[in-house]
Amino acid sequence: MQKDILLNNELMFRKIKGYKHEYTQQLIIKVERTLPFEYVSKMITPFLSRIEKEGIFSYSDYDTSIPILSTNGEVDIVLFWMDWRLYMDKMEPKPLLEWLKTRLSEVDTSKPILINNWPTFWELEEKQYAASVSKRGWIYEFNYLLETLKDEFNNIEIIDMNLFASQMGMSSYDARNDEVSNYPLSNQLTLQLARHIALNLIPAMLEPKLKAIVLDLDNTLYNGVLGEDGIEGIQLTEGHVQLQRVLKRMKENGILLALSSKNNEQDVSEMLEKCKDFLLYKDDFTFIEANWNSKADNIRLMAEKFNFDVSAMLFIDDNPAEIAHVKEQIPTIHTLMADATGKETVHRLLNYPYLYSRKKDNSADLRQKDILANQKRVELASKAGDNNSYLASLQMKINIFEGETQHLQRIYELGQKTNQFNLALQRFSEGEVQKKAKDSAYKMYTVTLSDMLNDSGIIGTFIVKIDGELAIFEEILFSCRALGRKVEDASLYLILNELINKGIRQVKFVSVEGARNTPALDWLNNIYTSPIIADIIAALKEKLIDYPAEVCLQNERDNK
Amino acid sequence: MKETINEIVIEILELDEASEELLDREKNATWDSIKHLELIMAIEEEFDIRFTATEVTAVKNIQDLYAYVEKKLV
Repeated sequence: MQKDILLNNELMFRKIKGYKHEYTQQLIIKVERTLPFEYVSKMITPFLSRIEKEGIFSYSDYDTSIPILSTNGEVDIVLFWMDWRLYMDKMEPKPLLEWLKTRLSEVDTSKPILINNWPTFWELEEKQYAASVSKRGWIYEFNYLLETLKDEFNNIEIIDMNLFASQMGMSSYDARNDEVSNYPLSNQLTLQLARHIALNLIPAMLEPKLKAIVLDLDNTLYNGVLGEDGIEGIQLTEGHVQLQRVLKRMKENGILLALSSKNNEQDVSEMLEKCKDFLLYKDDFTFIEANWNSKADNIRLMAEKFNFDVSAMLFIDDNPAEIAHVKEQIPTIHTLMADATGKETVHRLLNYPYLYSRKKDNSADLRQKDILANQKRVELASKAGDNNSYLASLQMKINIFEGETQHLQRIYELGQKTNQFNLALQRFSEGEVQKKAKDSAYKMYTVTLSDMLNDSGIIGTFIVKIDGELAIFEEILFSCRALGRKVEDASLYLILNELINKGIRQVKFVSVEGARNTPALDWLNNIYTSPIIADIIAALKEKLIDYPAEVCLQNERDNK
Repeated sequence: MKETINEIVIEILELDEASEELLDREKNATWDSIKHLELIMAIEEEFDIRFTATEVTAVKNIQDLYAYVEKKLV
C-alpha cells in the first residue's frame, strides 16, 4: 500500500487498516479515561506503523475521580481521554482545572502527557442560546484553562478535539453512538483524531522536528511547466495558494525552505520576482538550486551548506521517478509525493509526522541568516592565511550564562535538534531539563555567539552535575551552525576555570556513541587527556593560544 | 456479503474460529458493548449503510447482522 494514502484528506479505515510497516519501537501508552478509547486505539495502529512504532495500550476503569496509579518507568506516554460532559453539572471550570492539576501531579511529568479538550457546539439547538446561558460557555472557559496547563507542565499537549470537530461540522457528532455507548464521536472524527495523535502529537513529543523542506517547482508549487509554459502560462490554483500559505506558515514556525528544480536558474529567479500572486517570495528560500543536476546531488550540497544531516529534510516532488531516485540515493531523507492540484499536497504535508509545532519557533529567519553568513565565513576562511587570522576577522563575541532560567527552553531544543555535537545523546525532555535546573547539584551553562556577520543566539549548552570535588558533564550540546570556530573549546575553558575556583578537582564526561555524533566524540578524545581538571585546562589553553575572541562568563569580563 | 460480514466479525472479535456459539452476543463474553459498536461501525463503513440506535441494540448475533445488512442494501 502506498504509504502516502495515510496522509490524504479523505480517509476510510477499511482502506488503511492493512497498512503495516516494520516497527522499531514499542510505545507503552497508559490511557486514563472516562470515555471509551478502544475505537481510537483500533484506528491508530496503521498511523503508528507509519512512524515505525507499535502502540501497546493499557486502560484505566471508567472512573470520573481518575484514581491514577503511579506511572512507572515502563510507560512511554500517558493519555487522558475524558468525557468532560460528566463534570459540567458538578463543577465550575476553574475548580475542575485545579482538581485536575492535583491528579496530574501524581503522574511522572517527565513523560509526555496528552489530554483532550471538548467540542463546543455539538447540540443543534446551541444557536438559540448565548454562550453565557448554555453549557457552551462552560466548555469555552474550560478549553481555555486546559491550554494554560502547558505553562505549568512542560510535557503536556492538548488533543484539540474542539478544533477537529469544528472543522468537520455536525458530521463529527454521532448521536447514535452517544446513545448506544456514551461515545459521541463519529467514525470519521475518531479516525482524524487517531491520525492527529499518531502522526502529529506523538512524534512532536518524542522526536526532533524536521529542519528543512526542499521543494520541486513545476506541478508542485504551481500548475504547469515553467520551461514550456513560460511565466505567463503557469497557474497558481486554489490548492497551490493553500500549499504556499501552509509552507509560509511553516517557515514562520522554524522550518527552512529550499528549492531544487530542473529549470534554468535565471528563469526561476525571474518567475519568483514577477509572479505577484505567489505567497512565497525568493527570500523565503534559503537555497535555490535550479539546474540540470541530479536532485540527490543538489540536496546533498544543500545539506552540506545547511550544515545538518539529510535525515532532517523533507523532499517534495510530483514526479515519482524523482522521489524514487532521491530516496535510493539518500535513504534517510523524508519524501512526500505532491499532486497536480496542490490540494492533496496540503493535506499530506499537514499530516506528515515531525512537522508539528508545539511551541512558537520564530528562529527560521535567524537560522537562515546564520546559514548564509556561514557561506560568507567559508569565503573569508579561504581568503585568510591561517585559522586564527580568519577567526580574528570574524570579531566573535562569546557569552556564557549559568543558571539562566530564560534559556531552559532552548536547552531542551538543542537536546532535541542537535545530532553532530551531541555528546551524550540524552535528549532530555522539557520536564527533565526543568527538574535539573531546580536541583542545586546541577549547573546549567548556556553559550551565546555573535560575530560581524550575524548574531546566532544560544548555540551551546553544558549540563553539569557537581558531586563533591567531581564535576560530571552529563551533556554537552552545540548547534552545528557554530562548529569550526573553537567556541566549544573557549566555553569549556572558561567553565573549567570557574569550577576549579570553586574547588572542583576532577572531571568526568558522559558520552555515547551514536549514528552521527562523531564530531563531538572526536572533540572529547582530543581534550580529555586525564580526569584531572587542571590537565584539561592545560590542554585547552594549548589549543586556544592567540584565540581571537571576546569570551565572557556572565558579567565577569574575561578578555583573552 | 455474508463472507465480508464474517471476516469483519472474526477480525473485530479476534476469533480463531467462527463457531455458532462465538457469534452470539449472549454466549460470547468478549462481544461486549464496545466491541459491538466497533463491529457496527466497521460494517457501516464497509457497506456504506447506517444502523439506528434501536437496530444497534437489536442485533444479538451474526444472523441479525446478515438480515439488517441485506435489508439495507436492497
